[in-house]
Amino acid sequence: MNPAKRGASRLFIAILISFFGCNTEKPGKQGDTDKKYSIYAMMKDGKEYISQVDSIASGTLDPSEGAKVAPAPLYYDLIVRDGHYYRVDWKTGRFIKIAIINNVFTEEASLQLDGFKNLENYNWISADTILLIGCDATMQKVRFAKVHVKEMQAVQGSVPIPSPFGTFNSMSVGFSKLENDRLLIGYTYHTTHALKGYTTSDTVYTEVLHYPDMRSVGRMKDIRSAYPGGINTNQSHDFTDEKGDFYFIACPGIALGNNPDKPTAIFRIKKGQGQIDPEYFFNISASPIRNHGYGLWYIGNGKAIVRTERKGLFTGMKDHYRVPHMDFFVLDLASKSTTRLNLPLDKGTARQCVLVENGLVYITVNSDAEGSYVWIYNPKSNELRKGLKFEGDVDYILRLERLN
Amino acid sequence: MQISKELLEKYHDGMCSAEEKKAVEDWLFSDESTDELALPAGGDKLAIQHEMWAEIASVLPQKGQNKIRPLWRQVAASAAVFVMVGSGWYFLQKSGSQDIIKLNNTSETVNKNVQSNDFTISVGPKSNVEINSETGVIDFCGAMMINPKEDIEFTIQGTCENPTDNKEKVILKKGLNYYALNYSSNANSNEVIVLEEGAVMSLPPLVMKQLLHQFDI
Repeated sequence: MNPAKRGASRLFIAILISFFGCNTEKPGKQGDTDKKYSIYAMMKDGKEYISQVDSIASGTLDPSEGAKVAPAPLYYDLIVRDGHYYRVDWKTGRFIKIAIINNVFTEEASLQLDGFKNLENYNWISADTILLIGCDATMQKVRFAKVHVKEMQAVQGSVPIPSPFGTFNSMSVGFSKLENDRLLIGYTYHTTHALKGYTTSDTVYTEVLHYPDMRSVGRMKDIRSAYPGGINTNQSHDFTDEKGDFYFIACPGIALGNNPDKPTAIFRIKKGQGQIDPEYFFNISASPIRNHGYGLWYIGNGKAIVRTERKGLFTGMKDHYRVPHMDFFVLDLASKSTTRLNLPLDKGTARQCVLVENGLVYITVNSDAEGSYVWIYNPKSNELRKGLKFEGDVDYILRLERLN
Repeated sequence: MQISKELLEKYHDGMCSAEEKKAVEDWLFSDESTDELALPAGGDKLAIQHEMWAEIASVLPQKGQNKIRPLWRQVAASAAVFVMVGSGWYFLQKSGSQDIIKLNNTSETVNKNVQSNDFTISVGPKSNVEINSETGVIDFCGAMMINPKEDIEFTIQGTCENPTDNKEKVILKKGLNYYALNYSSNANSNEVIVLEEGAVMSLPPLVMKQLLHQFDI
């Protein structure tokens, strides 16, 4: 082909390619680490705001007066502690420290992580040190980063958990528990089909690692449920009680494991045992709740709250997040009894919505019919009453947390 | 650097690195390279070339009779089919005063992005969409993002399986990103999910991450 013709043809290709071408609670206005609580809300116009307030026990709040979150949505990603917000940006692999300064969501500092893109689990191992556990960009390898958040320096490395094998092509980390020189990490495997769904292994895996050198010293498999824990920036799925016993919920329902023939259940790792207690299994699906659940929060004295879906009120994932169908149940972990809290049905598939303080339990509830409130539950008297009321065009109250 | 279908798609989508961009542009405008575009194996070369041109002509504005083409145009047509077959096709079909937008993305890795008078659209890998503004119906299979330039109501139906069972009427608001995907769970093997950008985070983490990566949310 002569040069002129070749050039013309390539230009034509380029063209074709382009062808395809009461009292009113005022949100904090400063870098208000002296404020007590952080509330993250999404309004009906899709905009997201963070308000920092001193009281959630009474009064009103219009979240749209808070700091606008940018870039949004971030409600899934955040870690809140001592007046700061932290997240890992999956696009860049940066660990970012954020504060609300003059009512502006402001990046304060960042740290480039090495091969760490998807944060799955975090665990504060001291006042200023956070252990991040996550995966590489393709969810094939587990990484850790131990970050000193004041110095913004990290020790990083890989975690010797086997990559997906056989028909599995992805994985999730659902919990971590550090006890002396033992780090337990719960995880599972998935088979994904390009935007047409996925399935989760029918096995709960737990890796036992020697800490801090991250050497694997054991691996446990339990087939009583599936998908241990969940991404804990998004919602709480585990806790340690006063005795030091660790509990986690396994979530095979459609919103997490998508292996709903398995039961939602609570497992226990007793203090000092370093393994899942084979004698303990709290089957939520077989209890009077008769549904799958996801969020789990400890409220003290052997009691926990589980947030469960109610089948029949939603049709699938297309309306799971927007139809009010979520219940809150108080669980007695020893007797395995359940008690429904008489709250309006809540909406939102996963939320950081329970806060325990001074023996009282604060629960945010989004009800299209009955408004959005912080509800206050007293476990001793079983009394429920309304606290802070949310005003304006609130769609979801996505996070409620202590700031310090 | 080898010029591949994927690299041409990345170039079109503006996702090339500086090095890749230079390589593509060097290839496009260089007279030195000796590489040739390969026609499909087998069959009569001239017949294939005419067939390719006929396909291209059907989606390009008519400019008179299809005459004997200069060699450069035949090669360009071959290249166009190479690109179109390799990465999908897109065209606007005038129907009265309304546009029908059809987009088929056969790429396994990258999205196809299109700007029309009424929408910005991004179609995921191995996905296709047909938007008929006259009937108010969007047919799609796979995953897509749509951002309308005016408020508009559409019925969005998944055509992977049983389209009449898998549709949702939605009001798309001006300037907002909406995502639609065919989704299969144990509870519902044939679901159409349509949501605003902020609600993507409410999906199961694996699905959410796929959308975040695919549409760079």
